[in-house]
Amino acid sequence: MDNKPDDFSSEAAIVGSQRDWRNFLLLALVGLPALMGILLVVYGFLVWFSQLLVFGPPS
Amino acid sequence: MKKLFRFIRQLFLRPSMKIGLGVLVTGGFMAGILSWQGFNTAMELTNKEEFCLNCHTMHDNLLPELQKTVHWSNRSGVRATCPDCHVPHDFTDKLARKMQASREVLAQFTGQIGTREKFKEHRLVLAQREWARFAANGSRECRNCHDYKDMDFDKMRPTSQVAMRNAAARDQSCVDCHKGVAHQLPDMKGARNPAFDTLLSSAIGQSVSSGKDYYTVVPQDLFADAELKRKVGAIEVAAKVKVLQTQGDAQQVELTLWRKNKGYGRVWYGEFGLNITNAVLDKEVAQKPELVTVLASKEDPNTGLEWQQVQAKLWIKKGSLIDSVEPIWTIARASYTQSCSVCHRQPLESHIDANAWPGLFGGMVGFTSMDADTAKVVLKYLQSHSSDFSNKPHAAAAADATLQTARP
Repeated sequence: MDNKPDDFSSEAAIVGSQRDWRNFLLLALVGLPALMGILLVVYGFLVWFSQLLVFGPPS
Repeated sequence: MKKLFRFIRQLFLRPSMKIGLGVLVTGGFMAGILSWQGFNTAMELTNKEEFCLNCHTMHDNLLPELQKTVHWSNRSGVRATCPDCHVPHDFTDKLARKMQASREVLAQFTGQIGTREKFKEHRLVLAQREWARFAANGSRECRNCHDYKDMDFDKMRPTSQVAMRNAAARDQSCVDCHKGVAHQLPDMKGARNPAFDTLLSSAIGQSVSSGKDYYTVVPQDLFADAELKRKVGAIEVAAKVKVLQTQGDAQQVELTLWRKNKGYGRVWYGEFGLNITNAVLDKEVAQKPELVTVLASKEDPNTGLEWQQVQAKLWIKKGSLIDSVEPIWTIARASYTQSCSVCHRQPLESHIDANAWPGLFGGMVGFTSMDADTAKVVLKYLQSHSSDFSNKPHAAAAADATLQTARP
């Protein structure tokens, strides 16, 4: 378990509901879309490299 | 860093204090829909002709070429845009191609084909990539609009019908024949055949002894002097020479060939009576007795022309001879089979005689994508394996074997 005290200094000033809304918006509008984009790009690159090195162009 | 991980862990694991579950899930759901739609829109926007034409290389070089073809403007008004042919249509392949486009973005910013000259230098490579892609997927992008099953062959010209019916029977990849259908065909003459590299490396490693016969692997210049300063002509590929001596970078070789005793007599042939060119000398040199010795004289019964057997001792740059001609023929045979069986079964080499092959070959090579060097080697191969060199019988059945089954 945690041995050090949680560092809530920056978050202490924010009220619980405000924190919730902030996290919700960040996650839904920024974090998860960005994650989706990154995963798609990575998938695309993986497929491209496998076409270059392993399978050749699509048939 | 640790703070970041802790923040994320709490973000996901600590339950919301004030906001209801339904609100959160609905909000996430809507955000997900918006994100996915945004992704699709981005894919669509980068898949439009206007987007492709944003790069001036495309706009200045390729758009004018496309505008001259039937895929731009035609009787029915149905046309293809850049992505219709160049971007795969299904999701995974399309996404991979979009990621591959990062290479193109980089090229745009580094100006790799920024000028017309740079583009012209590079366009064969670009074209060959696309041809390889179409060959691998059987011209799948063409088939988004065109389909053999829906073609009305009777509406085509008779010559087209024969070719197209054959292609339909084999479900052939469209671009095998229709290269350059939407853009100008790149100049194939300057292309390099990578198969020759293996020949060159074996030639460089070949140990050469004087007095023995060797074969050239590349066409090259002939010189009168060991310093290789006075050029007197050129020798063709797969020409047999006898090596006399090696001095530094040069090798002295003895050519014993035949020439027609007419005019300058500067075209030298490998065999009596056969137009298989092995060397061509310059005009001033071909008649000089100190360079050219006449060994024998014979009349060709076919034409009544006098042929002379001639000999010359000339110098070439060393490192381009091999002791057997077979590796050259192997490459030529592969090129012949690959290039000349795309539209029809290629004729037996020995079905035609050596003097008839150049005409036939010249009439057909334009339909292939052979570069100039490969074409020369293939013609030499065909002539050297023609009926003049073969004992294969030519029964009447052989003619039926090459008959076209498709008829307009």
